[in-house]
Amino acid sequence: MEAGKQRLKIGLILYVLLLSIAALPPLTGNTALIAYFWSFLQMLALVMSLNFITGFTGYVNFGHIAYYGIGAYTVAYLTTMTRVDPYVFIPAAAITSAALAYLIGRPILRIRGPYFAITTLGLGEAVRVIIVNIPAFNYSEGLPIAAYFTYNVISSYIAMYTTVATLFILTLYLRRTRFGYMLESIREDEDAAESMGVNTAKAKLAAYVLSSACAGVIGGLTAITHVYAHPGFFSITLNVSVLASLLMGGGGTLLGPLVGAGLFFFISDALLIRFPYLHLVIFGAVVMAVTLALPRGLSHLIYRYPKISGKIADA
Amino acid sequence: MNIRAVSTTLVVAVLVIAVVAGVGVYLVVQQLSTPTVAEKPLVIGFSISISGDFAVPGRKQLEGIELWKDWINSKGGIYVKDQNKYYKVELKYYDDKSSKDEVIRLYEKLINEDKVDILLSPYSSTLALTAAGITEKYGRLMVVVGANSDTIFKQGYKNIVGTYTPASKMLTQAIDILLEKVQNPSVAIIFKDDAFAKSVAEGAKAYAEQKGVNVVAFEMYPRDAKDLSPILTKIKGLNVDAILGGGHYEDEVLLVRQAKELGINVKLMSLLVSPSLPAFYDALKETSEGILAPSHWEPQTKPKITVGPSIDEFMTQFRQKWNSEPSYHSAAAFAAGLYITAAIEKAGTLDNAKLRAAFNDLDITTFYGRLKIDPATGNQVGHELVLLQWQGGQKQVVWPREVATAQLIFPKPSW
Repeated sequence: MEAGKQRLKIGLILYVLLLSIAALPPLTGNTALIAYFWSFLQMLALVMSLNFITGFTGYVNFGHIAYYGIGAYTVAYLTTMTRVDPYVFIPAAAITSAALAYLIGRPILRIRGPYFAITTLGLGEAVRVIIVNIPAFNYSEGLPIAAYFTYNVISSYIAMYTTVATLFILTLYLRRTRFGYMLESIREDEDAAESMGVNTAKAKLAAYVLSSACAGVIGGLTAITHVYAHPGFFSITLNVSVLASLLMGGGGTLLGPLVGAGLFFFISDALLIRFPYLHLVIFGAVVMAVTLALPRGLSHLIYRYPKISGKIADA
Repeated sequence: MNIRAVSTTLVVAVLVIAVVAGVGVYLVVQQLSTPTVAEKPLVIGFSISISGDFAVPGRKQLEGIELWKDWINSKGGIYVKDQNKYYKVELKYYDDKSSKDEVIRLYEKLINEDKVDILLSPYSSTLALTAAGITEKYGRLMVVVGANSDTIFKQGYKNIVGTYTPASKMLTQAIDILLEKVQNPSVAIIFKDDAFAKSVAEGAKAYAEQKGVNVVAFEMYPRDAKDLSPILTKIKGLNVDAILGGGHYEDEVLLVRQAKELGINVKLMSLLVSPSLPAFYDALKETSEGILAPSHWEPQTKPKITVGPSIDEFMTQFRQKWNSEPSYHSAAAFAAGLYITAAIEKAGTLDNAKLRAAFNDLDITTFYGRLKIDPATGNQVGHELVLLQWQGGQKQVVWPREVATAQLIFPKPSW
């Protein structure tokens, strides 16, 4: 069995394992455990959604957080206006983020490489500055929504769980279809892809819109769980963490986001407890080491050790 | 009636009396039995800004709570009637780095993992508003200290209790003074983009307009403003009698420095938070002369105390423990502890819903002043502010006159 297929198989096994394990916390009724797993699923969902654009097409995106924040504000604003259950507005969050991604993506996806990265770096900050100047969004205070609905820890968990499951299916779809191969061809050599007849502009835009719409959903769900949408959602630190996880795990793969998010979440948490002041330094060193040793991410280890991974996949 | 029936009745009667008496005696003994000390402490949980924008007042608040913990434990702890036990108090707190994201994470942790008994708010309205959402979604009581934006209490939350005078009332005394001293005064209100400062500014604007004061400027500046000269330059051209407003510590110090640099002289200048902190004078020295600010408490006030230590006791113990001067943040935090103690003793339980209800009927006066809430919103209605002024390097209470320690300097000396 060739390494790529092995990786896909290992990825499949791990996701099924994860989704089975992640189904357990709500059954225990232990709110601390549920909250902890929710945070992990949220991180994983963000990495998986960023994977669609940054992983598959290789466009490094620092502006993912803009759509995450827009999703959060969409849900919170509509909830305060209508006093309806906020989950109703999750589709609205997806649509708003997708529409804005379409409008913004059309011009900025013409820019390539580091220039694209720099442009998106400004995007999250620009959206934040616009939002904190909008009176309807209560300036820099944001929109608290705790008074508008009855929070239920299980619903919040199920919503994030379903999102991860959906992202899993979407990733699988991209790994197996023509659309996915088009995106990968853009990552490998955009000019070659174009000369081979791939409509790169359209494919990139589709991936960007899909990725951003997912970020909007995750943002909306996070606003519900935090019962608050505020400018802190546009956090460049979060964007960098998501990006680092993706690069560490390996972009454009099914397995990568899971490995990256898992390492990031559990390692950074463990480091945070042990080294409250130095944890970022240590974590930074880990990310650097991984990127230097394995530029295509940890999931690429499979290509290095095909025999071992073959055994795992066959097991 | 035959003898047999009589004796049966007698036996039954005796048995009934014995049982009733036994139960009665048991209950009395239960009542009289000395309360024991609970094995586990009562844990009060909160996040506090030890670093970040709110670190200066945040630390002052923390010092107040720590001192209350020592004080209540030295008295044997808090008595909880339904368990007939005395609880020692323990604090569980984390540094929230003045960040909303951290507050969300930490309050989830305090409630779900640490399972604390009672929650206190973080310092600052913006963070308390964030924490209140989390405590509300779990239906947990939170005593709000160091935060008083009306926004927090207008959300419709059912589990919060305030300890500060509402923000909307914070500048009304300064406006009263201005009305007394100047005919047809004009004011400029400037404020930080933040839940607290905005409530203060909106309250001041409404009060000023109602009293016929001319509000010629009403300007908000960004939360992370590093330069206020654009707004100040505009105000300089308006030639106002008073500048009212501000936000928190860093930006208010900046505001004073830049107003001086631009040579904006007004008859009255009242800020919101920084002048009550000793660090204000350290940063500005003689530039602080004549600047006013509302204060939730000053050690010179003399309330008729019904609960807790006297002001002198508090001052002595505070200086002893921390080797520094307390600010109103410290006093209010200590008083919040006394307020919680009073509610627990009244409710006789640690059940949060019953505790929240107990606060509705509480009306106590501590060394920090009176505490009484509006039952519907939980907002503080009993507590009164004083106005302080920096005079020759000393913080003096100048208003209301009954508690004043010095004459108001008016107009404010030129820079």
